[in-house]
Amino acid sequence: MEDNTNIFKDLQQLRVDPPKDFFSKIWKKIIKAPTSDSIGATSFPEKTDHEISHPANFKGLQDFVPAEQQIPAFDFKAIIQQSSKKPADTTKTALVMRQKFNWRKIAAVFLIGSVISFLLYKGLTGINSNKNKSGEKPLSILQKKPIESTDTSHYKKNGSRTIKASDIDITQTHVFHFTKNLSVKPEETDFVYILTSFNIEDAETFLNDIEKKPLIFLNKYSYVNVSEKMKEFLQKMYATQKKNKPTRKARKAKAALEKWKKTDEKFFDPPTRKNPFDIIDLSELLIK
Amino acid sequence: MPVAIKTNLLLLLALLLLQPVLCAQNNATENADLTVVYDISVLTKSNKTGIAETYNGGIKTLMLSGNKARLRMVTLMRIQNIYFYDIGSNGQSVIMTKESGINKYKYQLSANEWKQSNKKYQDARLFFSEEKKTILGYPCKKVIIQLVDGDQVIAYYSTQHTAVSKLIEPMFEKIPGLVLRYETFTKKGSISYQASAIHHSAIDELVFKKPGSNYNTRKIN
Repeated sequence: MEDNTNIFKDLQQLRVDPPKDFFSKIWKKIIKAPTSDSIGATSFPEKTDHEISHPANFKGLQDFVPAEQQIPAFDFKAIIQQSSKKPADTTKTALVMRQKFNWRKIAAVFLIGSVISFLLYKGLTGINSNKNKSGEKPLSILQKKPIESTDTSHYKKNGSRTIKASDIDITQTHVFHFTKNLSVKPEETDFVYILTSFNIEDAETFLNDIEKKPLIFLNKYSYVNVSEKMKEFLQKMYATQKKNKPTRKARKAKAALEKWKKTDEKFFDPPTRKNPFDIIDLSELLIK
Repeated sequence: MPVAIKTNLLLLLALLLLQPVLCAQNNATENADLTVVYDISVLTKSNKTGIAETYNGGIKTLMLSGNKARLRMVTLMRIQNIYFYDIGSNGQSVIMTKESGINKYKYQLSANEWKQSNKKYQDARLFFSEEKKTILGYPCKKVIIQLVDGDQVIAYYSTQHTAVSKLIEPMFEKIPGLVLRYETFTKKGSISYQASAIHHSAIDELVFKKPGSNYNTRKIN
């Protein structure tokens, strides 16, 4: 058998050079093909393959820039003219603006408006009503936080305007905004009755409302803050089991509320002489 | 029209607009009407919710204008009023009304009958203390009202305010100032009234209008 081990090595190193001017000839043929007159006739150098470069015509194209992209020639006069035109234009606009708006008038109206609104604001927020009787020391109650848990914002908001009967008497109120999302008919003036009359949906709305803001009210000057204990009690009163039926505890809570109402009526309503305004009479009912 | 004239006209207009505001401010200063709002707080030692919670969180409002006054209480349990007329004169009278519920009622009391209703305060003894409390920015002095039957009321009053008539608050008859907080304690808990707002806004005459026919007239013993 022949020894072929070195045959691949020899093949690897095998090199066959193309005939002389092989590439030059190919190139010439390429050039001749499209424009034999123009390009072919031009001085195509008889160079070796390694020396071939772009023809002179293409060299010219390298520097070509389209007319629209060409930078205009530096014209100092034109620049000066353009720059001097601009201020003239803005002055014109300003003049037009001045003609359209009389700034003095606007400023005067703004100033007067500011003064009026300031004085109105001071008047409405009761700058004088904040003074104590001797007028020595300003009273800051309108800015003060409500004492303890009670919300007196209604009074604070209406601190300086005339207190009207319709702001107070519930018989003159048309709609009671009981909580944020609940209104009740004006005939319903009894909190206990209202509290025990909600359906499931209303009860849910009511409980959500007092959870966010524990305040219920009939009108601007008739409101009550619901204590934490009372809130829990009302939640218990509207607790339901399956099929939205009230729980046993809920029924008991409702009965308790009605019982308290009867106890209260028996204690304070005529013919008794007891007076709910009297702290001693009230303590006798509530904490004795 | 020249600009100067226009400006002057605008200023004149502004003055005309401001006039009612300025006048209103003067009126407010001179206005003698008084409104005091008291927050009612009832605290009990029991963990169970009871009737006390139906009064806890309520408000009591005192409205005073000239020789008329009105006390109003708004609680979950009831809305109640006491109207006082011709205060300081021989014909002074008191009307009590219940404003809430279906059974609204009213009853009238003469000055003497009212006095009888509050006779427990007639012989009360007052113990003035040096202790002070600031309420609504006013320094208030403490006084203990000791009733004959042993009940006690602690009050805090401001001397910077004129005391209200004894007809309106018989309990505070001998206190030289406006009571801004009062409280009573028992073994089971406490009740307190604390002023949360005082203002001198004008009060409409209709606020003091005598309760009409929509209230049933009731009699007391």
